[in-house]
Amino acid sequence: MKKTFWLGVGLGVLTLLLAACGSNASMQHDSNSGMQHGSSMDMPMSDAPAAVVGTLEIYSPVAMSGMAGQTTGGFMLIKNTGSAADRLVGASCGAAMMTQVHETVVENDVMKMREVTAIEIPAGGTVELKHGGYHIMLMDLKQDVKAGETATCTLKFENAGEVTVELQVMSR
Amino acid sequence: MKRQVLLFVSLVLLLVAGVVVWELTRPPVLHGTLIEPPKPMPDFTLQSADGPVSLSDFRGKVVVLYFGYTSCPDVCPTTLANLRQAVNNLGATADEVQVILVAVDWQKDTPERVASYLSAFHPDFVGLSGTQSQIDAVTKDFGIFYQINPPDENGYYTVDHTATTLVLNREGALMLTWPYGLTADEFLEDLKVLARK
Repeated sequence: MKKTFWLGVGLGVLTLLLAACGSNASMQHDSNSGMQHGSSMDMPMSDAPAAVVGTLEIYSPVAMSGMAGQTTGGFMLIKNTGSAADRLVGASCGAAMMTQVHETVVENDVMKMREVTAIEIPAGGTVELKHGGYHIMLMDLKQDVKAGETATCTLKFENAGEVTVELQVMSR
Repeated sequence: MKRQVLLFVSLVLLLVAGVVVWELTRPPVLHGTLIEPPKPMPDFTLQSADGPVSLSDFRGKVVVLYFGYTSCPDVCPTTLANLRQAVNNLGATADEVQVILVAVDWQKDTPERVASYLSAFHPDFVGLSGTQSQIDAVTKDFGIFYQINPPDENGYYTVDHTATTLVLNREGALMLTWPYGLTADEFLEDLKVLARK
């Protein structure tokens, strides 16, 4: 009788676990899903840097497509392999009438964008310009910027100086 | 002994049955915030590139309403791209859903500009714009904050706006809000529940 008792308990526990898992499977998400901004436009980091200046390496520079007169965004990853911090202090893109560096802040459900005059790239660290955070603002585009094209920008760093970066234009 | 075993097994089976019934009858978990009961919202009429459009034109469909502007390089395109992906994955249910963008930048966003902007996303998305007083009235009615910031020395300005997406039921009442940051899959899962016939 003891054997049957424990068999019954085991069966019951197993069924409860299966029922619980069955309901969770339909609701299960990647733990990052709630924090992932612009998931449809994420690009994997390329193996080789797209541009290098001093101890700074720039990876996966992309811009979103836009129409003439519109404002669009540029994103990338900046890695500092050196032992001294540096700062991104400016950007200039030929396709735009005006280029600024901005930070998106969502506060109490309200989206705000603010120009930043400098972004610190810590020694040995990386800074990502990505959706929901820092980005290059290509303002008042001079002409349509289409997916598949490249947008040339010059980034200015306080210590490393200037570097030309080709942003790959992606569709929205 | 046999009777005890039988009793025990029946109890386990009852327990299992109870769990199954509970799982099946549990309401679905939504990613957005449900408004219970749904809040009836006032109608509005704004301008599209094809002429005046009223919110009530879409009664009978689930309306997804987003307030943004065309020179928004980050948050608006992300949300619209995720909505596009969700709508594209809805299959036939996509016919039950209408996505509407209301452009709050009344200074620059003409109906044509908004239509052009939306064409990069989905042909069925509707873009609306209006005068300052129209935009002020609609955003106030829908609890949406927006602010056109002062221009810099070159005339460039940014626009702050509520980044929440609103979902209205087929009678035009607010039934759900989605915070900024939800993914396309999360929109899709909620729409599957809200837009089923």
